[in-house]
Amino acid sequence: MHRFNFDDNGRPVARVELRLPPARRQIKLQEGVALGRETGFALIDTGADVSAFDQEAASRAGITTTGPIDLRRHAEVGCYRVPGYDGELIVEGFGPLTVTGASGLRLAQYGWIAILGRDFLRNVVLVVNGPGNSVTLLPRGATHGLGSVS
Amino acid sequence: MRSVTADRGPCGQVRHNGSPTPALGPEGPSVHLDVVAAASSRLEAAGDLGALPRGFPQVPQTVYHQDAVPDSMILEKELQLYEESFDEYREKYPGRHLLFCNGKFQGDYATREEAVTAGYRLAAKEMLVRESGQRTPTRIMPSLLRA
Repeated sequence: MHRFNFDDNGRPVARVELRLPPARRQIKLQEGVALGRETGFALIDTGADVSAFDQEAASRAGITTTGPIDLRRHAEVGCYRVPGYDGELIVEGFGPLTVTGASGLRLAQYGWIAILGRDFLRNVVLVVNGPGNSVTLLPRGATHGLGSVS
Repeated sequence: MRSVTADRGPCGQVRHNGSPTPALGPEGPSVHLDVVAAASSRLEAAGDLGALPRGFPQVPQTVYHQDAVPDSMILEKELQLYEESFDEYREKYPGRHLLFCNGKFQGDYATREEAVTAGYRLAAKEMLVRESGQRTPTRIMPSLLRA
């Protein structure tokens, strides 16, 4: 079980690391590319179908764009084109999540390096405690006050 | 869990009894479902449901988002290559994952993972990986981002 606090704007966030999957990381290291550890906060967004990366953080982690993605809003016909990324997210307390086709956005202005979408949330139990100002993530199979999780 | 029962009030509205939210009044919350239903019926009768507002673009347009890369087209040449021979790639490489980078088609792979890793081996600054026959994916934008 891992408990996180809301950010200053009252949004639920979790501590994450953004990185290249091991095989690609090895290729970069063989080329002599120095790769830093990109750690920071990610917004937990139940409305996002796929996770998103901050473009600058992805670039620093050595993640290359794998093609554009079109984003649209509900009730809008037009699209906004953004770069897509294939990378790996590690949420504190959980194993690595391989993300395919993450949207590349400028998230640093919000204080985040990623957005955690339902590709991550489908494997965990999310408990939002508003009065307690905390968000708890439980792995599949864990138990908590609401009963067992399967 | 408390059970909630409902009956009709004097105006025909649904009234819930035994509500666990006393702050809404001693009789519990009342919902004017008949008003909502009547409004929906009028809209349906007028054919207004599903119509786009006047002046709304009828043809999808793609622009670059201000929270993304605005200053250059993303993989313009590779996308053009893919689109020009879209049908040919679809027939020639069904179910395969295609890799375009450095301005040309680099090969087809069984999985997306293999295609992306091959792109890294080619030291591509950016690459286009598409499953044969698939267009640019469309997703819903996070609601907090500015349009």
